[in-house]
Amino acid sequence: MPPVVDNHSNSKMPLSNTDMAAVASMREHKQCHDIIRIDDLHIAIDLKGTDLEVVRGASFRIPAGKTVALVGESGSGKSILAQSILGILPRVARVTQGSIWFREEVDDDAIDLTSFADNSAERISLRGGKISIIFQEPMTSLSPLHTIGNQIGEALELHRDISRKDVEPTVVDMLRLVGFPKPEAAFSMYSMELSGGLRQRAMIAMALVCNPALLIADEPTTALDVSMQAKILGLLKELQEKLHMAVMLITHDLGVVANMADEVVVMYHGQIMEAGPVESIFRNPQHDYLKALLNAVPDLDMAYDAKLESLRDIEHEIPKSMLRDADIRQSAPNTQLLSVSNLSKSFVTKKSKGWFGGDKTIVRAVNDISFDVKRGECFGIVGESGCGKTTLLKMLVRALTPDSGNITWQDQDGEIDMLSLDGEKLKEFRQKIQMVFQDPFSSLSPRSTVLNILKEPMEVHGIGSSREQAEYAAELMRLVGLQPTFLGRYPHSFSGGQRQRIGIARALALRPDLLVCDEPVSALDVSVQAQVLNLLKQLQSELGLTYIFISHNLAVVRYIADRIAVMFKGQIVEMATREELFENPCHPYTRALLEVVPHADLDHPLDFDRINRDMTVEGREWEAPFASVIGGDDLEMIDLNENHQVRVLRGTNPDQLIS
Amino acid sequence: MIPTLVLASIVIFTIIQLPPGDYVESYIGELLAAGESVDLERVEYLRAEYGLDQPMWKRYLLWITNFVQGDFGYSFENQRPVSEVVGNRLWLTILVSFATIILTWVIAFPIGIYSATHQYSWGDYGLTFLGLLGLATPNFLLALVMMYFAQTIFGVSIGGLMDKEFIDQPMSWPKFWSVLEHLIVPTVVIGTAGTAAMIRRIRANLLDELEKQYVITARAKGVPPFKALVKYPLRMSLNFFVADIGSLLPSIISGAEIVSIVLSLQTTGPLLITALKSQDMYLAGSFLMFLATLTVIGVLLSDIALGFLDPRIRLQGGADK
Repeated sequence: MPPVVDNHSNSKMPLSNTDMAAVASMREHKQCHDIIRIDDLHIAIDLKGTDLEVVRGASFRIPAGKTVALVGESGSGKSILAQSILGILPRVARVTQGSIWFREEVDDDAIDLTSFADNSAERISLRGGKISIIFQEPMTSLSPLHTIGNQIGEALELHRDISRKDVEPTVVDMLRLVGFPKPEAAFSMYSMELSGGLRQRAMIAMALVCNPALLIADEPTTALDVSMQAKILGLLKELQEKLHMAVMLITHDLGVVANMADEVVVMYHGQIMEAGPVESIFRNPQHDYLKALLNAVPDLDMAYDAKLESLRDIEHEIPKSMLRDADIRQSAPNTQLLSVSNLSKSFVTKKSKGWFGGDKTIVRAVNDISFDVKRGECFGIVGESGCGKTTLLKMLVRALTPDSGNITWQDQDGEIDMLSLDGEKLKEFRQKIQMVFQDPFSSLSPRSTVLNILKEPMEVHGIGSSREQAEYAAELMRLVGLQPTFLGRYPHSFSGGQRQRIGIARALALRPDLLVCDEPVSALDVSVQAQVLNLLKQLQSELGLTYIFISHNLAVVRYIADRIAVMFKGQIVEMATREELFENPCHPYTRALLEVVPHADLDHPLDFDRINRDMTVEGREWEAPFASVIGGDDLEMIDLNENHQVRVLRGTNPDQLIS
Repeated sequence: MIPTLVLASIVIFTIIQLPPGDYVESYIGELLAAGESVDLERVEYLRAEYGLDQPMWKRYLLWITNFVQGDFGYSFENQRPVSEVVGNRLWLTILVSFATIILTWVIAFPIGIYSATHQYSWGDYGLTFLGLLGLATPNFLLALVMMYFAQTIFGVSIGGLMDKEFIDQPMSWPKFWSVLEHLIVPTVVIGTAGTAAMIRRIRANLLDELEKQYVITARAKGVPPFKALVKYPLRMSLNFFVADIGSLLPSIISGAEIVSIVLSLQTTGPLLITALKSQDMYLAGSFLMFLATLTVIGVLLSDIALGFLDPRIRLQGGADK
């Protein structure tokens, strides 16, 4: 990656503060002055005496009332840049050079925020009053000990001259504005009583209650489901228009950028690679990094056989011993491998009311699920958090025992009833199914070397001598495109993508036939995501593996899966081959999901009006024939054609649905 | 709570009964050592009188039923009811303990907060060093050293909890003043180790909390630094501290015995040790039972306080994972 800091040629941004003529001409248009102008900003982190520059000469502007998206991978310095605007840098970081000019109104004098200490009265009165921020993690960014009303009201009392009795009505109004169904009740609730989406709404209410001139949104929807993401984005856009504020949107999701931004700033390794209006960034990208980034994102509009171009491709090598397995596996393609029928699992939760006692509620996490997986295919399962996909997967690897149903395994040695296995037989069988986990950081023990991590499965199953295991571990490393010399290292010295490849190598150590992948790329940066997806795809075809691939990201599943099941509230509502599902979605839930995915394409914007109107996220109700009439067992999967099933009322005529 | 106390009483009683012999035997041993003759009939009489010839479970039942009714038994050694022997000293013990706890808090909190907010500064290093020094010094040694200096430099005897002339006198201003004066050294001595430990814990807990996202949220909201510290992370780190109160009470009461002996304080600590040495079983048993009850009450209190302080505990109680 050549470190070019070349700003967009047709950018109209007055980047230096000497460019007064441009600024003066803008003053004529009331809306068009810059609220923030960042000028050659350098930020350094103190690492035990030596400075590490994490932001190296960034310059850009944020015009009043507009949205500027700051795009970059993790570690590119975008969050710390936001913190420097607010003056909440961590203790080890400081601005070493450059200035941040802030001007609230056109006629105000610009003040350089870097000339004040972070805790000076000037900065404190700006924070929360004129400039606010919302964070990525709605689960941790609110205090668990204080009520929502207290936390929102606090900002109000700090920055506005308001009498104590006026606080509550103002806060309640704000909560109503951000879409709380019962704002009066929410005022005295604690954050843990709210869902993730509502917490993020509360956070937005807190940021906006003082009517700031600039809102910094630091990955505001990354931790949310796609339908909730669409709603929060819609809310931000609506509020921005109502309150006439500028938004600085920090994100790595180009789909979000295309839907929200007026101007885009692309950051890489602390430097700005490219900046300009959203039109020219998407239609006419100049910088290699930006072009590569745009090609690395799986999209719902790309051709079905198109290959993602990852920023850094990896060379890998299949060991000879594995090729033999591959031949055996590929000798019988398209035969049935795994058959799941009528699988169910319920959990009992106690909902405590008051100090003592409580009611028990039964949650049907997986409810009567049936599907088949053929040898050599990739079976994708899509659903939002809480739909039961992880529970399903845990039952498939026999980590949870289902309440009822059957799982049958079929291979050259005959048919096996998986649920009847126990003891030694189960242990032996486990070699056939292995798992790749979501979080590459917590799924590798920080105290084991990579060699030990890769050897452990073989040790557990007593395969080979210690030397053979070590040799095989080296082969596994080459298999996922890592140097065998890395075997002596510990996981912390690897990047997220490399860790995930180690996780894949570990899963392949026992030469399984079926690999179960639980959101394997959702914790990775977009550029690395393409790399890991491509690796998984190649391994599948070269080794003849079968995958069950779980994700909440429709574009990712569309890229990798051959057949896809859509899960909703513990049930499969639609199941079809890939083209069939995306070309002719039938179930309203599938359609809704497809509608709320933001595309990295300016010609394909989200319909925010429609998303905002549709308030039935949680208690979603379908129209006939997709809704249950008696509340339960009157729905079944029917065939639309041989490749497409959908869950409707029993006895519905399939021809009715194809229209 | 009740089952815990019942179990505790059984364990206490069994342990007290574990060493061979009983009070009468050690009493005889003492008499013999003093060169006096012992009348065997008198021995048997004493045994029967005190119920020592009964089987163990009967003695336990007798003891525990009386205990519940407020009759704590009879101290052989002091020839007085246990309630009288302990009663006098209990108030003084509670006084010393509370003074110690408050001193611990008053010193530990500001230092812990300073250390956490100025991590790796010279102040933090210096205070950490002092704290570790306090943690490592044995209490009784400190007591001896302080007594020596008080005697040689200030010329005052700081042994005891009040000047000799006030012992067994009714409460008066001079007596109260004398008690306060004498309280300083014991509280400092008993409190050092606890203070040092508490500084370390406040610092560690607060450091964890300071990094949390909600603290950054508060700062981003424009909450002034000191208020942001007290309202959010400090409040959060109080949890451990409240949970600690339960174990604080008994540990201070029982942990101070040796110091109390060195400083000859009229608290319950030395009493317990002599009682255990001479197998004065009702005195020791009742006393240990007090400690157990205090612990259980302390834990209950801190649980209730936690419920009030932390909505997560209040609202999620009993949820199955």
